[in-house]
Amino acid sequence: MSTRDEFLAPIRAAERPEVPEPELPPLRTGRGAALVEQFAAAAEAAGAHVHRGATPDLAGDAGVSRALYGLADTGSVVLAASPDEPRARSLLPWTHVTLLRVEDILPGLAELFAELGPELPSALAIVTGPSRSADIEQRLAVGVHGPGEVHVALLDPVAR
Amino acid sequence: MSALDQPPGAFRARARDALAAERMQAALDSSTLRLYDHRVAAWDGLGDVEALRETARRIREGTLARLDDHLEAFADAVEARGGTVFFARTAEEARAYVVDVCTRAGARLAVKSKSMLSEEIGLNAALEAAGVHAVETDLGEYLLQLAGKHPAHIVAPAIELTKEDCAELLSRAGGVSVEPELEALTAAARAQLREAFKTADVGITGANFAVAETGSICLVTNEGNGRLVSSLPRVCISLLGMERVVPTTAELAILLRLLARSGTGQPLTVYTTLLTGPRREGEEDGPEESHVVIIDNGRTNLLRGRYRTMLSCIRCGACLNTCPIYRRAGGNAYSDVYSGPMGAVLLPLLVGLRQAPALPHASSLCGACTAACPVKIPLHELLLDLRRDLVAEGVASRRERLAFALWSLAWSRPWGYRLATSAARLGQRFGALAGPGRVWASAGRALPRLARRRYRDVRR
Amino acid sequence: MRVQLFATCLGDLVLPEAVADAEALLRGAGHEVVFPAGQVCCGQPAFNAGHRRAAARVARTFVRAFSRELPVVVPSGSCATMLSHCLPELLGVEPYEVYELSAFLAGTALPRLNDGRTIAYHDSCHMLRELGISDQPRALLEASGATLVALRRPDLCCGFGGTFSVRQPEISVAMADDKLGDAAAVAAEVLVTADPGCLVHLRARAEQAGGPRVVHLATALARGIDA
Repeated sequence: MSTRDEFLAPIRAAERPEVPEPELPPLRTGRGAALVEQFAAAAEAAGAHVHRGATPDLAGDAGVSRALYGLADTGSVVLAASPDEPRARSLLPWTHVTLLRVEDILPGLAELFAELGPELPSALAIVTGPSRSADIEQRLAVGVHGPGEVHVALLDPVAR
Repeated sequence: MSALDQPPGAFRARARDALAAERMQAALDSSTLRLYDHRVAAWDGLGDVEALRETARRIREGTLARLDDHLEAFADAVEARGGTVFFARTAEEARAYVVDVCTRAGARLAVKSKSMLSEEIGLNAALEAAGVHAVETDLGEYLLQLAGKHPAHIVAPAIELTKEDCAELLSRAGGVSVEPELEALTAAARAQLREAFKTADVGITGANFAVAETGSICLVTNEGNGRLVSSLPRVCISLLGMERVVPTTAELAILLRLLARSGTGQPLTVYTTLLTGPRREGEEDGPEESHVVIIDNGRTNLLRGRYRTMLSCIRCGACLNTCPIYRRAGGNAYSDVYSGPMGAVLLPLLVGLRQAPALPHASSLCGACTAACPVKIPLHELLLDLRRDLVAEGVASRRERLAFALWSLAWSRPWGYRLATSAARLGQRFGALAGPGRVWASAGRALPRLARRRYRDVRR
Repeated sequence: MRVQLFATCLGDLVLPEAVADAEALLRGAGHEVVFPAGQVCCGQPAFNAGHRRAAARVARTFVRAFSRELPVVVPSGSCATMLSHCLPELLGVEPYEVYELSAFLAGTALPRLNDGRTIAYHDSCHMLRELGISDQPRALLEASGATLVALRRPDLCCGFGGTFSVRQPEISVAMADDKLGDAAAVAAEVLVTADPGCLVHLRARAEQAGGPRVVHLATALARGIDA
């Protein structure tokens, strides 16, 4: 028996109760411009600076990434590791800017996963605001350990 | 004998110490209240939260009903994408595998992001013994590591450290004096840990969830240390409790909707990351080697009867934040790893009732935990089941069983009840001298007085 | 209507005046009250401690004493829960028609004995979470003329928990202190509870360490909070 089989044997032998199917809510169809205001409000509530139409003017060592998608529910940006997008770019600098095309804004996580399908990038980061911790006396501190200042530049189709 | 064993008097003794520690009490009160209020507000914002909880319950229980299939699918998916899977039945096997991977990689330094499972299996000690220094990078865990302590809460580990404590720890660690002010403390921690992230040979993460369909590990953090740990070092090892697998990303989305809201009140934590295998062709960073260690360590013990639902736990911490006992006793009263209601249920099931007999009774069965659980684990009912097992399996003391047997025999007839209670009333001035009466009174309560006449006699 | 009154062991032995108040309220509302003489205890102390056999032995006294023809009214949230939720499974019997006192008296007209008085009400855990009864006792207290002030942490258990009170006495007492302190902090004249277990525990601590008076709901409604 392989270690896998040895491991699984007691699980295979255990009872299998009947569990009713979970009812997953239907996917929402909104996208892009219709969701921009919601996205911007949620992103700002999470502590990100949101810019419409133009990239903010920032210090030279800010990391600048292109997002795959944005999520309107939570104001999150979705970054995928790739040859053009090293993970460290959105992790190491203090300041980070995400370029997000308005048409890539989806309602939320469920819609994101439906869009991505079963083949995921090696690292998919759903980022909502600056890095934070409340571990010291339950008081909010930003920038431990990821970026402490995050910007989202929303790119309208015309502006590009 | 496991590191998780809780000898009989331990809870009460540690709880007493916690009660005497004023700062700890204040920290426990304010942090649990804050997290409780945040959860309530977040749940209010969810619309039909009961429907969502029920969906989440079905997702978890449905997965557990076919756990072997999902684990197989997950392992196959990981391997198809260039990762390596190791199935570890025991803590020992898991430790040995991780040490082996580190040794073969020539590692001297490992960085770890938060993993309760790594505490459960005692990984850090094994790594140190093998010459690998393991640095905790979750801020609270880092501070605790510097202090030589164990986490007291599954989500907010350093709940009882003050700014001054942190300043002292960080100053010593960095060799430079740090002011006990929040900005200075976080800047110092950030700088110290950055060095570790950049120079570590191995990154070790936990896993909030694992997705079978995509072969991914899902990490949920606020700090970004999970991403750093899994991006910079050459080797990445993720420790996965076997029960944390989720069949598809669609179901993951439901659980993620509830996880942060239940634990901290946030709609999502800052970083929700899905890791799928090592770096791909052309990528500049990311691990070259990606390992997932799937761990049992007693979880199969829970696959029987009602206890199965305890495996649904998504480690959100909501039950801790709502528990009136946790709020006063603190996390370390329960164990060095799991605490609160989920700890009181999980630990005896993992290590055996004989090894943790007091935990099922470290509760007033108020039911607040059950009401707070996003996946509807009937925690307080499971605690009652464990109490029954303590009796049925002969773990409860013979004295206790005898006392209840005698009481029940006397009270099984009205005349026996009269006799016993008349005797009790006659002897009640001595009630505080021995037995439960003494325990009751010695904690600072007057002994309740039996009325001169019972109601049934007054009524006649 | 005709109802059966279950005094509970704590009621019978320690709080007979509260049971008398409960009976007076029921009569005042026009009900005829029957008191089955063979009643003893619902078995809850043993049941919640995991001693099922002992609990069943004692619980059988209920089955022998009470009739199925008439509803049972109980001045205790925890005993009402034991009888309605646990007894059937424990003894393999059909459920009885069981009411906690305030739920049974809901809407009853009451003399305004507590006019202008400030009361804090403590929700006992079983009543709140298992029976879902939290509005009715408050409505009755308000009908008696009282002004209710909300506790800051109404969600927190008082710390009794049956055998918990002697297995973890220090935590139990700390929880009582939190509850009594809460009532004092909101300037309540008294703390009212509908559960004898909570009441005995809180009163025992208040007697030793100081704190507001603790009064049973039945007493507050039948004779006023100063009784």
